[in-house]
Amino acid sequence: MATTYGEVEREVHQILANVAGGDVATVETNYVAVSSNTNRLNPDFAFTPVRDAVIESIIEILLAIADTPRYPQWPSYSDSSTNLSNGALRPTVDSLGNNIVGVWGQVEEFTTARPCLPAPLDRIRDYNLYSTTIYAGLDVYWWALDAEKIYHTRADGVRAYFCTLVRPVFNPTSFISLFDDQVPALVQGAVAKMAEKEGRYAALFTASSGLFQAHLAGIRAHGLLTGSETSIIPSAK
Amino acid sequence: MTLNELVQYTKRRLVGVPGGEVWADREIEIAATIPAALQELGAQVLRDRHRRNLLQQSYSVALDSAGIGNLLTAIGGITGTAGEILQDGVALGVVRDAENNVLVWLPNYDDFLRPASIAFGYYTLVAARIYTRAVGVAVTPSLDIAPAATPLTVFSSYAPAAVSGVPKELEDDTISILTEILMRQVSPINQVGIRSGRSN
Repeated sequence: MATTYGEVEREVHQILANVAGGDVATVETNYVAVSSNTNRLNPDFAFTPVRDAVIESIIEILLAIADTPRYPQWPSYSDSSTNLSNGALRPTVDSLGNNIVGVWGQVEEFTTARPCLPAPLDRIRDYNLYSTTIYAGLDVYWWALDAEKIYHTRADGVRAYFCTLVRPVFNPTSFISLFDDQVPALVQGAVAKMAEKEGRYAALFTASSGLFQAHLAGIRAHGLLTGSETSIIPSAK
Repeated sequence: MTLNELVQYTKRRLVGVPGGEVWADREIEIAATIPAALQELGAQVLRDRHRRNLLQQSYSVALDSAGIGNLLTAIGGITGTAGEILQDGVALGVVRDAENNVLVWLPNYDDFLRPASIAFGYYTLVAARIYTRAVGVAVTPSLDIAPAATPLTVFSSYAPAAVSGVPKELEDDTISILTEILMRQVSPINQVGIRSGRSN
Protein backbone atom coordinates (compact mmCIF):
# COMPACT_ATOMS: atom_id res chain seq x y z
CA MET A 1 0.00 0.00 0.00
CA ALA A 2 3.05 2.20 -0.36
CA THR A 3 3.49 1.59 -4.06
CA THR A 4 1.91 3.92 -6.59
CA TYR A 5 0.06 2.90 -9.71
CA GLY A 6 2.72 4.72 -11.68
CA GLU A 7 5.49 2.62 -10.17
CA VAL A 8 3.65 -0.56 -11.09
CA GLU A 9 2.95 0.71 -14.57
CA ARG A 10 6.57 1.63 -15.28
CA GLU A 11 7.77 -1.78 -14.10
CA VAL A 12 5.34 -3.37 -16.52
CA HIS A 13 6.59 -1.19 -19.35
CA GLN A 14 10.17 -2.01 -18.42
CA ILE A 15 9.59 -5.77 -18.70
CA LEU A 16 7.73 -5.21 -21.96
CA ALA A 17 10.79 -3.29 -23.23
CA ASN A 18 8.56 -0.31 -23.85
CA VAL A 19 10.64 2.47 -22.33
CA ALA A 20 11.99 4.79 -24.98
CA GLY A 21 15.56 5.99 -25.01
CA GLY A 22 18.86 5.42 -26.71
CA ASP A 23 21.06 5.87 -23.68
CA VAL A 24 20.94 5.16 -19.98
CA ALA A 25 20.13 8.69 -18.95
CA THR A 26 17.21 8.95 -21.32
CA VAL A 27 15.83 5.57 -20.37
CA GLU A 28 16.17 6.47 -16.70
CA THR A 29 14.31 9.70 -17.28
CA ASN A 30 11.57 8.06 -19.33
CA TYR A 31 11.28 5.16 -16.91
CA VAL A 32 10.34 7.31 -13.94
CA ALA A 33 8.17 9.69 -15.93
CA VAL A 34 4.43 9.29 -16.24
CA SER A 35 3.72 7.36 -19.42
CA SER A 36 3.36 9.54 -22.50
CA ASN A 37 3.64 9.29 -26.24
CA THR A 38 7.24 10.39 -26.03
CA ASN A 39 8.59 8.08 -23.35
CA ARG A 40 7.02 4.81 -24.50
CA LEU A 41 7.79 3.36 -27.89
CA ASN A 42 5.97 0.06 -28.65
CA PRO A 43 2.47 0.38 -30.14
CA ASP A 44 1.67 -3.12 -28.85
CA PHE A 45 1.63 -1.68 -25.34
CA ALA A 46 -0.39 1.51 -25.26
CA PHE A 47 -0.93 3.22 -21.93
CA THR A 48 -4.58 2.47 -21.26
CA PRO A 49 -4.39 -1.28 -21.96
CA VAL A 50 -1.39 -1.54 -19.64
CA ARG A 51 -3.21 0.44 -16.99
CA ASP A 52 -6.28 -1.76 -17.42
CA ALA A 53 -4.06 -4.82 -17.12
CA VAL A 54 -2.70 -3.46 -13.85
CA ILE A 55 -6.23 -2.88 -12.58
CA GLU A 56 -7.39 -6.36 -13.59
CA SER A 57 -4.38 -7.95 -11.95
CA ILE A 58 -5.03 -6.05 -8.73
CA ILE A 59 -8.59 -7.35 -8.80
CA GLU A 60 -7.42 -10.91 -9.36
CA ILE A 61 -5.09 -10.70 -6.38
CA LEU A 62 -7.81 -9.15 -4.23
CA LEU A 63 -10.24 -11.91 -5.20
CA ALA A 64 -7.67 -14.56 -4.33
CA ILE A 65 -7.20 -12.94 -0.94
CA ALA A 66 -10.97 -12.64 -0.46
CA ASP A 67 -11.31 -16.36 -1.15
CA THR A 68 -8.75 -17.19 1.51
CA PRO A 69 -9.73 -16.12 5.04
CA ARG A 70 -6.62 -17.69 6.51
CA TYR A 71 -4.38 -15.48 4.41
CA PRO A 72 -2.72 -12.91 6.69
CA GLN A 73 -3.89 -9.94 4.62
CA TRP A 74 -7.55 -11.03 4.49
CA PRO A 75 -8.57 -8.81 7.45
CA SER A 76 -7.13 -5.77 5.68
CA TYR A 77 -9.88 -6.01 3.09
CA SER A 78 -12.72 -7.20 5.31
CA ASP A 79 -15.81 -5.43 6.47
CA SER A 80 -18.65 -6.52 8.73
CA SER A 81 -22.36 -6.76 8.23
CA THR A 82 -25.22 -5.20 10.11
CA ASN A 83 -27.13 -7.32 12.61
CA LEU A 84 -28.34 -10.41 10.73
CA SER A 85 -31.32 -12.18 12.26
CA ASN A 86 -31.95 -15.88 11.77
CA GLY A 87 -33.25 -16.39 8.25
CA ALA A 88 -32.12 -12.97 7.07
CA LEU A 89 -31.19 -12.53 3.44
CA ARG A 90 -27.49 -12.78 2.80
CA PRO A 91 -26.06 -9.30 2.34
CA THR A 92 -24.63 -8.66 -1.09
CA VAL A 93 -23.11 -5.25 -0.41
CA ASP A 94 -21.51 -3.62 2.58
CA SER A 95 -22.69 -0.45 4.30
CA LEU A 96 -21.08 1.63 1.55
CA GLY A 97 -22.73 -0.32 -1.23
CA ASN A 98 -19.56 -2.13 -2.23
CA ASN A 99 -19.96 -5.65 -3.53
CA ILE A 100 -19.20 -8.50 -1.17
CA VAL A 101 -16.74 -10.95 -2.71
CA GLY A 102 -15.00 -14.14 -1.73
CA VAL A 103 -15.52 -16.43 1.20
CA TRP A 104 -17.09 -15.26 4.43
CA GLY A 105 -14.79 -15.06 7.41
CA GLN A 106 -15.91 -15.18 10.96
CA VAL A 107 -19.51 -15.00 12.04
CA GLU A 108 -20.02 -13.83 15.59
CA GLU A 109 -22.87 -13.07 17.93
CA PHE A 110 -23.75 -9.44 17.37
CA THR A 111 -23.94 -8.31 20.98
CA THR A 112 -21.11 -10.30 22.53
CA ALA A 113 -18.80 -10.95 19.56
CA ARG A 114 -18.58 -14.60 20.59
CA PRO A 115 -17.57 -16.58 17.51
CA CYS A 116 -20.05 -18.93 15.90
CA LEU A 117 -19.25 -22.31 14.41
CA PRO A 118 -20.25 -23.32 10.89
CA ALA A 119 -22.75 -26.16 11.23
CA PRO A 120 -25.08 -28.22 9.07
CA LEU A 121 -28.39 -26.52 8.42
CA ASP A 122 -30.21 -29.56 9.76
CA ARG A 123 -28.71 -29.06 13.21
CA ILE A 124 -29.51 -25.36 13.25
CA ARG A 125 -33.10 -26.01 12.20
CA ASP A 126 -33.57 -28.65 14.90
CA TYR A 127 -32.05 -26.44 17.58
CA ASN A 128 -34.27 -23.52 16.65
CA LEU A 129 -37.39 -25.69 16.48
CA TYR A 130 -36.87 -26.91 20.04
CA SER A 131 -34.85 -24.10 21.59
CA THR A 132 -37.49 -23.47 24.25
CA THR A 133 -38.23 -27.10 25.05
CA ILE A 134 -35.65 -29.83 24.45
CA TYR A 135 -32.74 -27.41 24.23
CA ALA A 136 -33.92 -24.80 26.72
CA GLY A 137 -30.89 -23.57 28.61
CA LEU A 138 -28.43 -24.84 26.01
CA ASP A 139 -26.41 -22.15 24.28
CA VAL A 140 -24.89 -23.12 20.96
CA TYR A 141 -23.22 -20.77 18.53
CA TRP A 142 -23.85 -22.10 15.03
CA TRP A 143 -24.48 -20.66 11.61
CA ALA A 144 -25.02 -21.88 8.08
CA LEU A 145 -25.57 -20.32 4.70
CA ASP A 146 -28.30 -21.34 2.37
CA ALA A 147 -28.33 -20.01 -1.16
CA GLU A 148 -30.10 -16.82 -0.22
CA LYS A 149 -30.23 -16.70 3.55
CA ILE A 150 -28.17 -17.09 6.67
CA TYR A 151 -29.41 -19.25 9.50
CA HIS A 152 -28.01 -19.30 13.00
CA THR A 153 -28.84 -20.07 16.61
CA ARG A 154 -28.36 -16.68 18.24
CA ALA A 155 -31.45 -14.74 19.23
CA ASP A 156 -29.47 -11.52 19.41
CA GLY A 157 -28.42 -11.82 15.78
CA VAL A 158 -24.98 -12.22 14.28
CA ARG A 159 -22.40 -10.14 12.50
CA ALA A 160 -20.56 -11.57 9.49
CA TYR A 161 -17.18 -10.58 8.16
CA PHE A 162 -16.40 -10.61 4.45
CA CYS A 163 -14.28 -8.85 1.88
CA THR A 164 -15.63 -6.19 -0.41
CA LEU A 165 -14.33 -5.01 -3.72
CA VAL A 166 -14.30 -1.64 -5.40
CA ARG A 167 -12.71 -1.45 -8.83
CA PRO A 168 -9.48 0.51 -8.41
CA VAL A 169 -9.05 3.73 -10.33
CA PHE A 170 -5.68 4.23 -11.93
CA ASN A 171 -3.89 7.32 -10.74
CA PRO A 172 -0.13 7.45 -11.30
CA THR A 173 0.53 9.14 -7.99
CA SER A 174 -1.95 7.24 -5.84
CA PHE A 175 -1.04 4.15 -3.85
CA ILE A 176 -2.44 0.86 -4.98
CA SER A 177 -4.71 -1.04 -2.57
CA LEU A 178 -2.30 -3.99 -2.30
CA PHE A 179 0.56 -4.44 0.12
CA ASP A 180 4.06 -4.02 -1.26
CA ASP A 181 4.80 -7.74 -1.15
CA GLN A 182 2.13 -8.23 -3.80
CA VAL A 183 3.77 -5.84 -6.28
CA PRO A 184 6.19 -8.25 -8.00
CA ALA A 185 3.35 -10.66 -8.73
CA LEU A 186 1.09 -7.80 -9.74
CA VAL A 187 3.62 -6.65 -12.31
CA GLN A 188 3.91 -10.17 -13.70
CA GLY A 189 0.13 -10.44 -13.88
CA ALA A 190 -0.11 -7.23 -15.89
CA VAL A 191 2.70 -8.33 -18.16
CA ALA A 192 0.96 -11.65 -18.78
CA LYS A 193 -2.19 -9.83 -19.77
CA MET A 194 -0.28 -7.68 -22.24
CA ALA A 195 1.92 -10.36 -23.72
CA GLU A 196 0.24 -12.31 -26.49
CA LYS A 197 -0.05 -16.00 -25.87
CA GLU A 198 1.25 -16.74 -29.33
CA GLY A 199 3.83 -15.09 -31.51
CA ARG A 200 6.88 -13.29 -30.33
CA TYR A 201 5.58 -12.66 -26.80
CA ALA A 202 4.66 -16.28 -26.09
CA ALA A 203 7.72 -16.95 -23.97
CA LEU A 204 7.15 -13.77 -21.99
CA PHE A 205 3.52 -14.72 -21.47
CA THR A 206 4.44 -18.20 -20.27
CA ALA A 207 6.99 -16.90 -17.80
CA SER A 208 4.96 -14.02 -16.38
CA SER A 209 1.69 -15.92 -16.32
CA GLY A 210 3.39 -18.79 -14.53
CA LEU A 211 4.77 -16.49 -11.86
CA PHE A 212 1.44 -14.74 -11.41
CA GLN A 213 -0.64 -17.91 -11.20
CA ALA A 214 1.84 -19.44 -8.79
CA HIS A 215 1.46 -16.40 -6.58
CA LEU A 216 -2.34 -16.66 -6.63
CA ALA A 217 -2.06 -20.36 -5.81
CA GLY A 218 0.25 -19.47 -2.94
CA ILE A 219 -2.36 -17.15 -1.52
CA ARG A 220 -5.13 -19.73 -1.82
CA ALA A 221 -2.90 -22.39 -0.29
CA HIS A 222 -3.41 -20.72 3.08
CA GLY A 223 -6.86 -22.24 2.95
CA LEU A 224 -10.25 -21.70 4.46
CA LEU A 225 -11.07 -21.32 8.09
CA THR A 226 -11.67 -24.58 9.87
CA GLY A 227 -14.48 -25.23 12.26
CA SER A 228 -12.18 -25.40 15.22
CA GLU A 229 -11.05 -21.84 14.69
CA THR A 230 -14.53 -20.44 14.95
CA SER A 231 -16.07 -22.79 17.45
CA ILE A 232 -17.04 -21.97 20.96
CA ILE A 233 -18.07 -24.38 23.63
CA PRO A 234 -21.20 -23.73 25.65
CA SER A 235 -19.57 -23.18 29.02
CA ALA A 236 -16.79 -21.06 27.62
CA LYS A 237 -18.99 -18.00 27.72
CA MET B 1 -24.68 -26.92 37.65
CA THR B 2 -26.34 -25.44 34.59
CA LEU B 3 -27.40 -27.37 31.54
CA ASN B 4 -24.59 -25.73 29.57
CA GLU B 5 -22.07 -26.88 32.16
CA LEU B 6 -23.42 -30.43 32.17
CA VAL B 7 -23.12 -30.54 28.38
CA GLN B 8 -19.62 -29.17 28.61
CA TYR B 9 -18.46 -31.62 31.31
CA THR B 10 -19.90 -34.52 29.34
CA LYS B 11 -18.56 -33.39 25.99
CA ARG B 12 -15.07 -33.00 27.33
CA ARG B 13 -15.17 -36.45 28.90
CA LEU B 14 -16.26 -37.95 25.61
CA VAL B 15 -13.88 -35.96 23.44
CA GLY B 16 -10.98 -36.87 25.69
CA VAL B 17 -11.30 -40.54 24.81
CA PRO B 18 -9.63 -41.74 21.58
CA GLY B 19 -12.35 -41.88 18.97
CA GLY B 20 -14.53 -39.52 20.94
CA GLU B 21 -13.71 -36.55 18.77
CA VAL B 22 -17.03 -36.97 16.99
CA TRP B 23 -18.71 -35.49 20.06
CA ALA B 24 -16.92 -32.17 19.69
CA ASP B 25 -19.86 -30.49 17.97
CA ARG B 26 -22.64 -32.72 19.23
CA GLU B 27 -24.06 -30.42 21.88
CA ILE B 28 -27.67 -30.90 20.88
CA GLU B 29 -27.32 -34.68 20.85
CA ILE B 30 -25.89 -34.52 24.35
CA ALA B 31 -28.60 -32.12 25.50
CA ALA B 32 -31.34 -34.30 24.03
CA THR B 33 -30.11 -37.19 26.16
CA ILE B 34 -30.15 -35.28 29.43
CA PRO B 35 -33.79 -36.18 30.29
CA ALA B 36 -32.90 -39.87 30.03
CA ALA B 37 -29.88 -39.33 32.26
CA LEU B 38 -31.92 -37.48 34.87
CA GLN B 39 -34.51 -40.22 34.87
CA GLU B 40 -31.79 -42.83 35.31
CA LEU B 41 -30.25 -40.75 38.09
CA GLY B 42 -33.56 -40.66 39.91
CA ALA B 43 -33.99 -44.42 39.56
CA GLN B 44 -30.46 -45.13 40.78
CA VAL B 45 -30.77 -42.85 43.79
CA LEU B 46 -34.16 -44.33 44.66
CA ARG B 47 -32.56 -47.76 44.83
CA ASP B 48 -29.69 -46.53 47.00
CA ARG B 49 -30.83 -46.28 50.62
CA HIS B 50 -27.78 -44.21 51.54
CA ARG B 51 -28.45 -41.52 48.98
CA ARG B 52 -32.20 -41.78 48.60
CA ASN B 53 -32.77 -38.71 50.72
CA LEU B 54 -30.94 -36.54 48.19
CA LEU B 55 -33.83 -36.84 45.77
CA GLN B 56 -36.86 -36.83 48.00
CA GLN B 57 -39.34 -34.03 48.48
CA SER B 58 -42.88 -33.45 49.68
CA TYR B 59 -45.89 -33.07 47.44
CA SER B 60 -49.29 -31.71 48.33
CA VAL B 61 -51.88 -33.82 46.57
CA ALA B 62 -55.51 -32.73 46.48
CA LEU B 63 -58.07 -35.55 46.64
CA ASP B 64 -61.39 -35.62 44.90
CA SER B 65 -64.64 -36.65 46.59
CA ALA B 66 -63.73 -40.30 46.08
CA GLY B 67 -60.39 -39.84 47.83
CA ILE B 68 -58.36 -40.09 44.63
CA GLY B 69 -55.48 -37.81 43.78
CA ASN B 70 -53.24 -37.30 40.77
CA LEU B 71 -49.55 -37.69 41.57
CA LEU B 72 -48.44 -36.72 38.08
CA THR B 73 -49.66 -33.17 38.48
CA ALA B 74 -48.38 -32.77 42.04
CA ILE B 75 -45.77 -30.03 42.40
CA GLY B 76 -42.58 -30.76 44.30
CA GLY B 77 -41.90 -28.74 47.43
CA ILE B 78 -38.21 -28.27 46.54
CA THR B 79 -38.10 -28.12 42.77
CA GLY B 80 -41.52 -26.55 42.23
CA THR B 81 -42.01 -28.79 39.23
CA ALA B 82 -44.81 -31.23 38.41
CA GLY B 83 -44.31 -34.62 36.84
CA GLU B 84 -41.07 -35.53 38.59
CA ILE B 85 -42.43 -37.92 41.20
CA LEU B 86 -41.35 -41.54 40.98
CA GLN B 87 -44.22 -43.89 41.72
CA ASP B 88 -41.89 -46.41 43.36
CA GLY B 89 -40.67 -43.67 45.62
CA VAL B 90 -44.04 -43.11 47.24
CA ALA B 91 -43.87 -46.42 49.06
CA LEU B 92 -40.35 -45.58 50.22
CA GLY B 93 -41.53 -42.27 51.63
CA VAL B 94 -44.51 -41.26 53.70
CA VAL B 95 -48.13 -40.46 52.89
CA ARG B 96 -50.07 -38.40 55.40
CA ASP B 97 -53.61 -37.14 55.20
CA ALA B 98 -54.67 -33.63 56.15
CA GLU B 99 -55.15 -34.78 59.75
CA ASN B 100 -51.56 -35.96 59.86
CA ASN B 101 -52.46 -39.64 59.90
CA VAL B 102 -49.84 -41.82 58.26
CA LEU B 103 -51.51 -43.94 55.61
CA VAL B 104 -50.39 -47.52 55.09
CA TRP B 105 -49.44 -48.65 51.59
CA LEU B 106 -51.37 -51.55 50.14
CA PRO B 107 -49.49 -52.65 47.01
CA ASN B 108 -52.48 -54.50 45.55
CA TYR B 109 -55.68 -52.79 44.64
CA ASP B 110 -57.76 -55.80 45.68
CA ASP B 111 -56.30 -55.59 49.19
CA PHE B 112 -57.33 -51.94 49.24
CA LEU B 113 -60.91 -52.96 48.54
CA ARG B 114 -61.04 -55.59 51.27
CA PRO B 115 -61.85 -55.19 54.96
CA ALA B 116 -58.85 -54.16 57.04
CA SER B 117 -58.06 -52.83 60.48
CA ILE B 118 -59.69 -49.48 61.08
CA ALA B 119 -56.70 -48.46 63.15
CA PHE B 120 -55.01 -47.28 59.97
CA GLY B 121 -55.80 -45.34 56.88
CA TYR B 122 -54.59 -46.82 53.59
CA TYR B 123 -53.53 -45.89 50.14
CA THR B 124 -52.72 -47.70 46.94
CA LEU B 125 -51.48 -46.66 43.52
CA VAL B 126 -53.78 -47.42 40.64
CA ALA B 127 -53.84 -46.10 37.11
CA ALA B 128 -51.34 -43.34 37.83
CA ARG B 129 -53.51 -42.15 40.71
CA ILE B 130 -53.32 -42.48 44.48
CA TYR B 131 -56.42 -43.95 46.07
CA THR B 132 -56.99 -43.31 49.77
CA ARG B 133 -59.02 -44.82 52.53
CA ALA B 134 -59.75 -42.91 55.73
CA VAL B 135 -58.64 -44.08 59.13
CA GLY B 136 -61.34 -45.31 61.49
CA VAL B 137 -63.88 -46.28 58.87
CA ALA B 138 -64.83 -49.97 58.63
CA VAL B 139 -65.05 -51.37 55.15
CA THR B 140 -67.05 -54.48 54.46
CA PRO B 141 -68.10 -53.94 50.89
CA SER B 142 -65.79 -51.64 49.01
CA LEU B 143 -68.60 -49.13 48.82
CA ASP B 144 -67.90 -48.37 52.47
CA ILE B 145 -64.55 -46.81 51.61
CA ALA B 146 -64.35 -43.23 52.81
CA PRO B 147 -61.77 -40.86 51.41
CA ALA B 148 -58.88 -39.66 53.52
CA ALA B 149 -58.82 -36.01 54.51
CA THR B 150 -57.57 -33.88 51.66
CA PRO B 151 -54.96 -32.75 50.82
CA LEU B 152 -52.37 -35.45 51.23
CA THR B 153 -48.78 -34.71 51.98
CA VAL B 154 -46.73 -37.23 50.03
CA PHE B 155 -43.02 -37.49 50.72
CA SER B 156 -41.51 -39.30 47.78
CA SER B 157 -38.49 -39.81 45.59
CA TYR B 158 -38.31 -37.99 42.30
CA ALA B 159 -36.24 -37.70 39.17
CA PRO B 160 -35.33 -34.04 38.63
CA ALA B 161 -36.76 -32.60 35.45
CA ALA B 162 -34.12 -29.89 35.22
CA VAL B 163 -30.36 -29.98 35.59
CA SER B 164 -30.62 -27.15 38.09
CA GLY B 165 -32.63 -29.50 40.31
CA VAL B 166 -29.74 -31.93 40.73
CA PRO B 167 -28.16 -31.64 44.19
CA LYS B 168 -24.47 -30.79 44.24
CA GLU B 169 -23.57 -34.22 45.60
CA LEU B 170 -25.13 -35.91 42.60
CA GLU B 171 -23.66 -33.75 39.87
CA ASP B 172 -20.75 -36.04 39.12
CA ASP B 173 -23.09 -39.04 39.04
CA THR B 174 -25.23 -37.19 36.54
CA ILE B 175 -22.25 -36.53 34.30
CA SER B 176 -21.20 -40.18 34.50
CA ILE B 177 -24.68 -41.46 33.73
CA LEU B 178 -25.05 -39.12 30.78
CA THR B 179 -21.63 -40.10 29.46
CA GLU B 180 -22.43 -43.79 29.74
CA ILE B 181 -25.74 -43.42 27.95
CA LEU B 182 -24.08 -41.55 25.11
CA MET B 183 -21.28 -44.10 24.84
CA ARG B 184 -23.85 -46.85 24.53
CA GLN B 185 -25.35 -45.20 21.49
CA VAL B 186 -24.77 -47.28 18.41
CA SER B 187 -24.35 -45.81 14.97
CA PRO B 188 -26.88 -46.86 12.30
CA ILE B 189 -24.25 -48.82 10.37
CA ASN B 190 -23.40 -50.81 13.47
CA GLN B 191 -27.06 -51.44 14.12
CA VAL B 192 -27.28 -53.04 10.71
CA GLY B 193 -24.30 -55.18 11.62
CA ILE B 194 -25.87 -56.27 14.87
CA ARG B 195 -29.11 -57.23 13.16
CA SER B 196 -27.20 -59.16 10.55
CA GLY B 197 -25.30 -60.98 13.24
CA ARG B 198 -28.48 -62.00 15.01
CA SER B 199 -30.08 -63.29 11.85
CA ASN B 200 -27.06 -65.43 11.21
